Amino acid sequence: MANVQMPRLSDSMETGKILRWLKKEGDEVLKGEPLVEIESDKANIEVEAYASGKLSKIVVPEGESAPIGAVIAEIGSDTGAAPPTAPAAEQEQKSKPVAAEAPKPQNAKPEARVAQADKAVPAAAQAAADSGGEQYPQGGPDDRMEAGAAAQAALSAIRGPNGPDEARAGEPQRVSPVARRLAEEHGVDLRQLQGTGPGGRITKEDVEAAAQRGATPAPTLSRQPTPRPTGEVEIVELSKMQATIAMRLTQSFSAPHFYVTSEIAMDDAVRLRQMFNEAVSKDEAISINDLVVKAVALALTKFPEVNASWADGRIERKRDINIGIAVGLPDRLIVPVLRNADQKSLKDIARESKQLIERARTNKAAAQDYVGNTFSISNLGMYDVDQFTAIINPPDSGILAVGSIEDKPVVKDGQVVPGKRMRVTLSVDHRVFYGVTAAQFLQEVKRLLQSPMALVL
Amino acid sequence: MPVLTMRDALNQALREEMKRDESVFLLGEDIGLYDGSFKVTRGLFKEFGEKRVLDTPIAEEIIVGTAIGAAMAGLRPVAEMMTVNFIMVAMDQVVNAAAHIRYMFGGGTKVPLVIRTPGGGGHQLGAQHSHSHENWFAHVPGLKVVAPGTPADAKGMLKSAIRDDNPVMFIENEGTYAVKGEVPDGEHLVPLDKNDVKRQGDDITICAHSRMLIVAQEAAVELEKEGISAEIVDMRALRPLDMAPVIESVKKTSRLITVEEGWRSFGVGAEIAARVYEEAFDYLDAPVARIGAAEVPAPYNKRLEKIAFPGKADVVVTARAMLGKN
Repeated sequence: MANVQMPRLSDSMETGKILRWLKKEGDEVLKGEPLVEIESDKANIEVEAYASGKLSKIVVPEGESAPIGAVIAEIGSDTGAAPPTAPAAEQEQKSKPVAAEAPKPQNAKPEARVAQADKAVPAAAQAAADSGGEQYPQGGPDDRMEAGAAAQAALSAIRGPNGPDEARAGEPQRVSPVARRLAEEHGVDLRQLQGTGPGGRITKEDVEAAAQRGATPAPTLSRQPTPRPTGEVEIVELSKMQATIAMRLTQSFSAPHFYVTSEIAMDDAVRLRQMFNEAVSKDEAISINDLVVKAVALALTKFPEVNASWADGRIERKRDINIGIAVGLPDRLIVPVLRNADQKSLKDIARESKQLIERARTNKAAAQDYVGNTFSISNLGMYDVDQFTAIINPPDSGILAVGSIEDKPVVKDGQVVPGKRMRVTLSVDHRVFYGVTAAQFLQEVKRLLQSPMALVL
Repeated sequence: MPVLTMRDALNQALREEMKRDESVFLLGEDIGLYDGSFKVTRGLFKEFGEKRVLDTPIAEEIIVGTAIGAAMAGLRPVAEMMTVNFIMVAMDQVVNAAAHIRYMFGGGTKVPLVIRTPGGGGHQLGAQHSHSHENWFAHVPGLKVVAPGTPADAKGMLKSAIRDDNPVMFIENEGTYAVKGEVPDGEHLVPLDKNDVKRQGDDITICAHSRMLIVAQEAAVELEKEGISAEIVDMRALRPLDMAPVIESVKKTSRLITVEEGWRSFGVGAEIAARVYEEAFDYLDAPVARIGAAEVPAPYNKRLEKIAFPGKADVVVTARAMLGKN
């Protein structure tokens, strides 16, 4: 038997109104299926079932409201999929802590009894003494099969006051710090999740599972913003990650920016890449972007003032050279970080950035994939872009926007000849370094790309 | 590698250091003629004589005070407190003198002193003789505090402690003197400020020191049978507290249990937990679980004593609960 509780759909929500039950009493419900439409103070949201089984009872009918955490329906565990929980009748009495008294399955491990003894250490100790030690086998303390007094406070802390299994009705959603961080990174909406950890806490695994589901087409998890017609415009709600991106870019753009553009002759670099790729197997092939990454990283070794951050009125120069590579996805922008790029061979840069981008695309990126950038590159070359400017990716103080390589007539030794040209634009945080440095840095990038053997050596 | 008991490993460290450096001498109650209450100093009186192995009166404040004076005068005393319980009458010397003198004299004098003393409970010695006070000492700037849990570390850390120019509280445990382990011969030094991953694991981190290290290891074996992989960090270096291996481990496992034989309140686990919240908050998947002695004066009754001190079952059940496997 699983209880369906009124979910918290916004931070300010206190009660929710049942707009429509999408299933009738007696219907079979599958975990993840839309179950009920609920109106919160902010929006109408379809809520899915968190357990499979028969919808045995609708507690709150359509049109009525209930506070967060109140039981609004019961799903039977006929299919055996729902976890054992406290009976609904007890659950409804919100003021009463229920889970500690919840009946345990007959085959529960002996330790389960400890949960009930959490509050009764002195009694347990007394019982042990009264029983003349029958309760505990002879031998050292380590022969005990049950937790003693030493673990009780820790167990209470882990399980919460209501015992191990149940979320506390009406109380805020419990989310572990790592789960919160990962949810933000993967753009997972915590409000849509039901925690499986002790005390109903949303754990790392819950978020990872949700991110995984989000990566494959899974319409049941409404992570995608739901378009909702209002008059003549279509309102698109931001995902948490989109909101974060918007906030950070706005913050970044408040730094005084200036821009320097340069055109680079890419004839030799294109040729070098061709030769390189003919010499290695297909999966070791390098891209133009890999050459740009390497050139930028090498240039940064000569310009520590560019590899720096504005930090509350001071400048932090970074020893490591970690290049953020902007990756555009349909619904968001992320910047995985290639570490110590200056010390890596082209081959390694190519391999690692392929992996990083692939992980980012499939939502499998680890947290550390996104931290530690000291300079970033945004390349729209593959989208037929002459040139563009990019907004600095904090905490960097510079970002290089890379355009397409274009075949165009160029003047060489007084003759017009065909040439391959690429325009790059450096965005600079003017507090951290200045125009001349920016120009010299670009010259160095240009020099390296125009004499690309330096990138292979 | 030879296998020695903790007791003999400590004895070896003392003998080697006394041979190596004439300024090293021992003092304490019954450590000479009687070979020591726990036989850690066995044979040393016979070998080095009464000038280097001093039997003292039952007066802990005088033992520590004498040792401090000798240390300031250029010797390297190793004082034995028969058990940590008896050091309370000498706390003024330990804190106000040993820990602070070097600072108060602007570095003009140093106190190269080791105080060896066993703590721990579980032997039906009652409330007054079952203490674990390492957290008291670890609270005090100026002291170094170590609490090894293996014979090899016991030898290596005691040798390092004797060579250190600062007062070192060397915490032993009555329950581990007979524990055996491989101990390197001869010059084997273990740093006083490095904690150590004693077992690799992925699901949960367990921090423990001294006898609780053994409890944690037994629990890890049990947990492994259930498919729970525990990493154990030996917190042998309590002050300065080396948190690096703990932080690194928590970033991997996201879950931490601390186990100590003393009370939880204001204890070693409390300090570890606070540091983890400061340095790895965003990696935690559950509150840090602190296991420690029940918050009562240690009971004499055998059955009560068993449930008052942490054991394997406490760690196993806590680990299961943390992983939601109740």
